Amino acid sequence: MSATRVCALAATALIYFCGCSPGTPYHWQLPPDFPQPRVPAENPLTREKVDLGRRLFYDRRLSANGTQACASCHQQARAFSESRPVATGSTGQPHQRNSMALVNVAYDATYTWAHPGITTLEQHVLLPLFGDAPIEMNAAGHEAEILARLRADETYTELFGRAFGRGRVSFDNVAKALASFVRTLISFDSPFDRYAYYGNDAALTESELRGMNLFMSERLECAHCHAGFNFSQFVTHQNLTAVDTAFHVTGLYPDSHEYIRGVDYGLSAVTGNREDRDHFKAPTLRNIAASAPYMHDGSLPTLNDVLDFYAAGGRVVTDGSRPGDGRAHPGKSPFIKGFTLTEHERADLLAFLESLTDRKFLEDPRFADPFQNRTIGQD
Amino acid sequence: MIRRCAAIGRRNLPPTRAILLPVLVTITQILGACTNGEPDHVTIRFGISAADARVASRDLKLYVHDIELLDDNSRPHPLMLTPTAPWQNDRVALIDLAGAGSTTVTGTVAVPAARYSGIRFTVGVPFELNHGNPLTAPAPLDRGDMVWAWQSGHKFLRVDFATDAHEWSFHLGSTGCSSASALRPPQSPCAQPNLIRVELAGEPLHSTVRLRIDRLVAAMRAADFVTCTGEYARDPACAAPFALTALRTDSGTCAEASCSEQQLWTLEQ
Repeated sequence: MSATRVCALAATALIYFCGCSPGTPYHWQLPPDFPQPRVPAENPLTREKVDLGRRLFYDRRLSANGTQACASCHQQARAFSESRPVATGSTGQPHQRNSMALVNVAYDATYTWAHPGITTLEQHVLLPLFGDAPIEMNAAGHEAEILARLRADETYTELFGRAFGRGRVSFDNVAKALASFVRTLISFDSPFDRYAYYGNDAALTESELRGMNLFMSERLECAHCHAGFNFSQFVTHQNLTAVDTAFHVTGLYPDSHEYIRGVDYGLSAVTGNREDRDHFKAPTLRNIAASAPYMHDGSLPTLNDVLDFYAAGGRVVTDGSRPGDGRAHPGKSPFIKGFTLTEHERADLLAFLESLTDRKFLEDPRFADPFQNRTIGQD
Repeated sequence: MIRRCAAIGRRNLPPTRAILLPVLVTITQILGACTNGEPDHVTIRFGISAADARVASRDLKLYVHDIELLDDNSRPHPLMLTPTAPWQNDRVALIDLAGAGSTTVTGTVAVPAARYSGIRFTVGVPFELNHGNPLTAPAPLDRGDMVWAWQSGHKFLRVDFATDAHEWSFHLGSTGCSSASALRPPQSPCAQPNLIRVELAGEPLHSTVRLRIDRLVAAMRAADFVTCTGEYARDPACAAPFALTALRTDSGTCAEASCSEQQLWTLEQ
């Protein structure tokens, strides 16, 4: 046996016996034959990381001033979104965007409303933690203070130890644990899922079925962008070898001829390309009835408003900093061409959208606040 | 190939003239292929013109299957697709002319000809593969952006463009598919299969099968850049772009076995 091999064996044994073992693999509960989400090789999914991540997700001490946790804006009862049109950071700064629901994000190919470059949850969780435009959790510049709080807590000593090894309290591991917990927020138990993926013909009512067929129809074109099992084009999984991500203009605002300071131009803020102005990601519609208000800035309060908006092929904005005809935006998706709905059809479509609600997901104790005596994230 | 040619050269020829003749013809063909250095591994290139490439395309993809090379006597030599995930399996290939995907189809010809003077292929996905669960379908049939739903199956051709300050789309696939709902597959072929059997004359291995975006753009301009994604028969404005396929809106087939009147594809050196 070569010296190298002996060393390798010894190292393996050391890792195994010293408690730095990789932990217990986490298994998702997915419908039959469903593809597994991708997990970055450098952060294998374990029960220990998920347990730690859940506590961190609900812990206000992760924000510099101790007022805000991830769960403040991502509330389980609202499919891990919130009811405000746009979020407010821990220091009171308003965000420009609506808090996205966290549903099946393990399958997302990109994160945030409009960023092609953020492709893992590990990358993404750094944004709310350290972002300064706007300030959200405000961890930047307060890293030592926040880590000291965690190190002083015996529960965390134990949880970090189990997940990563003794003394491994770091922001890198905070991010890995948060990403691991969020990766387990899987929702496939809606009436729609029982019809579509468990083959139960009785799972949807006649009205819901009519609404589903309307949703999938070329007349309405909803399913072009809200495509596939997650009702979003931005999906990847272990069987999928190629991913297409296309950001779209919906006609929510008119095209700006000149740059207006303070306006959220979506994708173009990342790419710098003028033609990417007002392009955003089509988010999942799973649990959509629970996650009002809608659109990237929460400017449509109800699903009825959303149907009106798409039926009109966009909207005319009369107030605010960007008045004008969003319907005439030159970059608008060709699939948003407007349609008319009878009152019955509207009711069917709404019934279908309601059938995407997974009640168990919204109440699942595995995803709930582990701090028993504190209420968090209620507004 | 060389080994195969050598083996045939050593074979004793049967004495009967009736048998001898076709054997000789075959040997001549195979030796011809050998001496020409024509490989039995072939690559078919797809593309668009340089001018068309300057048109801002958002998406430009199509499925092809049942590719045949035609020899000088118009005899078909089927191309057996080489599975090269994620772009082709042994039945269907996905061509991506605007993104980062594959622009070629590779395969083998079991009995090669000395020369080819034509190519036939079908744009689309065979019915028996078209309506499966895209989550479990083998690549390249697993792409969410190329699927409508179980009922209607895959988009055979997806063209999303931005021209003349308009965003428009032309998506071709089967229509008139009957099943219990959008998420249940049809048991029998759709009323309009809309599979296009394309036959092009010319030497296919050193050419490019060109998708004529210029013609599609012209048709779309005439139609005021309407977006056509399935209402081929009902929306009169779809008529001009759809006519380029030579498919009939009622039957979803061409008047002949090959869509000889189609204008969307040409073979160019």
